[in-house]
Amino acid sequence: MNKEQRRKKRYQAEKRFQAYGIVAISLALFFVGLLVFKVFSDGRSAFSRTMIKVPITFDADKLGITNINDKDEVENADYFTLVYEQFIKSYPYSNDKEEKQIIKLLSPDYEFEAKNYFLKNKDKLGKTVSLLLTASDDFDQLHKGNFPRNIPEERRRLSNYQLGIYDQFLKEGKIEKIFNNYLFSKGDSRDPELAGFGGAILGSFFSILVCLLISFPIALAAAVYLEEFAPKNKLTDLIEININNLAAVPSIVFGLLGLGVLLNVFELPRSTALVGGITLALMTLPRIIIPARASLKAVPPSIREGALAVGASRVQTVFHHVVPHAMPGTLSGTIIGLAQALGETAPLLLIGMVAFVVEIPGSPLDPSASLPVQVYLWSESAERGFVEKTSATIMMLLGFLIVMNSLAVYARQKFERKWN
Amino acid sequence: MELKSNKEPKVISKNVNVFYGHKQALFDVNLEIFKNEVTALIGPSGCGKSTFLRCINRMNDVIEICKIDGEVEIDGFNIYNKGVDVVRLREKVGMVFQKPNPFPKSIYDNIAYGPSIHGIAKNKVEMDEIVETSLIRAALWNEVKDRLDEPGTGLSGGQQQRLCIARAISINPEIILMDEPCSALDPIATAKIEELIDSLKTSFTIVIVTHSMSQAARVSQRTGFFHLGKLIEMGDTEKIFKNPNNTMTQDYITGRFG
Amino acid sequence: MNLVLLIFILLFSLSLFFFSKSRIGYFSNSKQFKLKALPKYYAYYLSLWCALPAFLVLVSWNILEPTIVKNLIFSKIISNSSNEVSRDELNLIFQKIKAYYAGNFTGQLSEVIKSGADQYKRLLSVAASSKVVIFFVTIVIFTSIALKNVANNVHAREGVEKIIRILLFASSVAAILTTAGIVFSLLFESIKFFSTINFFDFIFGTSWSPQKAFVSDTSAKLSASEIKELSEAFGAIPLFAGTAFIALIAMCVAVPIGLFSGIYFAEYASTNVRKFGKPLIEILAGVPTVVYGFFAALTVGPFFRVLGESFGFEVSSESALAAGLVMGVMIIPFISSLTDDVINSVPQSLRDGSYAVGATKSETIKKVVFPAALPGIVGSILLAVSRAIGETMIVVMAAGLAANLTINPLESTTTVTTQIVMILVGDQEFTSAKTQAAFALGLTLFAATLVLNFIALRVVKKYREQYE
Repeated sequence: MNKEQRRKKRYQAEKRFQAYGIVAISLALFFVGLLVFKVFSDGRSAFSRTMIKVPITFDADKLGITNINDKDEVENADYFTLVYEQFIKSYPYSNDKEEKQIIKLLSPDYEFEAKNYFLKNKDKLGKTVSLLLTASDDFDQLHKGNFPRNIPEERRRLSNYQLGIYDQFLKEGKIEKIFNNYLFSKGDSRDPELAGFGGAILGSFFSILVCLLISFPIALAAAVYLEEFAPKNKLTDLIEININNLAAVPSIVFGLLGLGVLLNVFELPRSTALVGGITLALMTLPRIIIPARASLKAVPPSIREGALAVGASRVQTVFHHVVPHAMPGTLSGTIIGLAQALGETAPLLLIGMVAFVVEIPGSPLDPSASLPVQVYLWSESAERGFVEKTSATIMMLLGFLIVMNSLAVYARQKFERKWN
Repeated sequence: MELKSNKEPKVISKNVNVFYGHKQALFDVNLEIFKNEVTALIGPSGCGKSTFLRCINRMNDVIEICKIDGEVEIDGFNIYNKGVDVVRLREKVGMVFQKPNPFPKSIYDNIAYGPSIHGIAKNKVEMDEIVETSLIRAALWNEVKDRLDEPGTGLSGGQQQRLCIARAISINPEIILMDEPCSALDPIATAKIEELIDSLKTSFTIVIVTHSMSQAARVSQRTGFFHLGKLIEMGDTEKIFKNPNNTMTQDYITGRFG
Repeated sequence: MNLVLLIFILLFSLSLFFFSKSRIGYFSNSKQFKLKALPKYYAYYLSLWCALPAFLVLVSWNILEPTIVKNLIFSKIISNSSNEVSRDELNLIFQKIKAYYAGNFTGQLSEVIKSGADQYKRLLSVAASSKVVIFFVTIVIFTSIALKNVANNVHAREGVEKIIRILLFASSVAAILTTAGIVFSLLFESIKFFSTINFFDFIFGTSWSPQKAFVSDTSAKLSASEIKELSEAFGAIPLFAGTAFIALIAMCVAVPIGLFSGIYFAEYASTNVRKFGKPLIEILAGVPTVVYGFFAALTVGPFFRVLGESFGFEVSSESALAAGLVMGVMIIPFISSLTDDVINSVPQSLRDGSYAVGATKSETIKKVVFPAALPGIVGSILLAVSRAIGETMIVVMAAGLAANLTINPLESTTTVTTQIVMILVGDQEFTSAKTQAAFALGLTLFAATLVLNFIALRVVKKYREQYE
């Protein structure tokens, strides 16, 4: 029966259609999962740091310290040679080239690590201590299993000789992994094992702070004006059209605005979180105004009428009754807007928050980078060690974003219950 | 309940109970609808007559929280059996809604939609015929024959409803359900549709839900009175309106409530 | 200095507030004087009139001072110089003067620079002292006016509310100011750009190699070969093509996945699937684009290269395919969400009409619901396209830098946004043609997204009117 066949076909088409939908959703979810998985699996290793145990004797003669209480002497003592000479003793070498290869297994920071230890433990003068020194990036990556050993020597970062040293140290139990506090406390560095996003976190913090302080009051005021006080005329229409447009302008254009006006005309200091924050604020303004207006619109007229009936003025009605009622939605929109600003990179690149900043910024007026900019900078580097650091930075960034978005949802739910 | 013994029932409902979540909307409805007749369901608003109507073509399936108990037999076959093809059912049982709902397509496409998905027309010529026939039977052809390409939503309310009737007719169902088809229309359009219903009953079995008693009296041969989810009384229209058995029916007819 | 003044005005107005509040309260209580408003409003009135004008003066002074100082120095240089001095030369001299003043000047020291630095120093100190004086004068003037008004029992609450309304209005004007700022800065630099580079060479030129442009500071006459080089340096067609191409690839990924998931969520999904699935997909929208860029550069790009090589294709590790694919994934939630909303807003009566005629669910969706929702969906796709062409980080990190006119997705091409970043993140003289080129590109981008958004919003608005 033709009709039967036709009906069967139609039901098959129905099943296929549903299948497309499920496939589409699964694909999208697959991408989410893949992204998260990749980031977390790559970034995990950044939270640990490989250290080499080196027996160091703080020989007073070698250091050139005659009086332990002389601050200058202790500060300027030769920790470099001390560590150098004692470290190369840990493995036999036969020529200059091999000697150099041994010392390259330590991070270039070793003299400062030794000095910092000694400054805190001056009683160890003349004694031998088993010091943990940071390993170089190549050594670190090898220990974390990121360097394949079975490729020919010319294509490797570590020579056969150095691999031999690694195996030996491993057997002697001289290799340890500790929690990588450098990741959080240090700023950028040319050496991946010493690099951290501490500077970037503060840079992000300052710029978001500036952004919040500028955009929230202005956006709230604008939303209140447009929703409650604005007369229905051409000017108001123009303002509304403007705001809707601005919300959809690509973020890089705001970077151009910051460059052209804030840096060029107002001559504000380049690369600072202050300028970054102002640029982000300009971008975030419409993204707060729109949900704030929606919340204000949703306030039931009965509340307004009740206030007016008791003799409150327009301004009093708005600020004492309407705005508090619209707060959950406004706050939630603000937090989401800030979360978007936190993830922005392009505008900050253009206003210069992309400097190689080693010092942790102390104020919004110091040059700094931000977390996403740090991700960009590190992703351009060739060293393998930066890959894990970049992924770890992404983990931090995503972590902050999750917290902020949950806060927004929580704020909306908690406050809405209170008013209802 | 009275039975016209020389006619066979087309639709029989047996102990039909309908629930929306925990709320029960219909209680133990047992009635019969006969072939080639117009049966009217009347009663005050919220009494469940629309809900019952929607049971006959299983439109209630679209509502997630709706649960149905009991049997509805069409031509002796329970349409609520497992494995019943709802699509086939709706080929046999068409529906016209309270508010006209033409598709945002041309008049031609509105009518052609049903036949095209069921593959009734083999080519354009046959489809043209079906469209024309349906529109003629729905008493709309003369008014729209020159503008079949225009959107169906551009017609007046009464014309839209006739369009919807034509759409229901186009797949040649056996039963047409009408849920208060005239409540959104003016008196003249209403009169036209009532005329149409009368002419259609020779080819179709029609069940019409209406809150206008005069309409029920004009248009139907049998009437069922619903109140608060229960079928209070069912019988020949003349009897129900002149000499009902049940006092509640009597009260409703005379306007004491509803 | 600014900080000091700011702190001063803050403390002063605050103390004025508290002081006057208690005084006036006491005054009205003891003398039983009928006040026209609550004491606190008089206090607000006073402190606002004291703080706001001074604050405004401070801000405008700080904004205007650098420009005025600069122009004063320029006019002195021009009047002292015997021949024509170009704008660029003036700027250069000014930079040197500032460097000398700050103590880190290296190079040839000339009389002009030395005397300029002296003048600069004088101007700065005069400006600083005048600023302080005018600041305090403003405070005194406005506070006395306010005090007088309060003494005359002004309608304090209304006065305060009027100030508040003005502040609110000013805040909303900020939106216009931002747009004006964008347009102004983009236009200004673009006009400078188009005075050197031919407009048609830019819009229609097919060769983009900015390193060819060596525009010197002096506006000396350009040789014929230099002019030819310039006309071949800034042809933006490859950029437009690259942007469009990558956006196209992105849409090919995002539209099918987004549409089908949106339809599924709206029509088929159970409440649980909707509750968990929708927010999960929204996560894709919340991930910063730099993360996508990293993912594209480190994982997707090499993956396609390896995959392609195993089939014998030559695939760049910065292929347009990789960048487009990842961009598409980012756009999926935009289309999925909007489709879901749009389909939900199609009235149920249309679906009922279709079911009643015996159509299956997919037939109803394909033939009735989707066509009815089409304008809304088209609008959302347009918005997504606008998002795609304005996207920066994914393409900067994953697409190439070579301006390559191609339709082969396995090759690398560059986009408008990538070039803007590349030009401006180097160390460039701000007045060079390259920097101005970036602004010209920005202007094109701004105009294009504006048009797209405008059309999209109009389409969506018309669709809403149809159903509401």
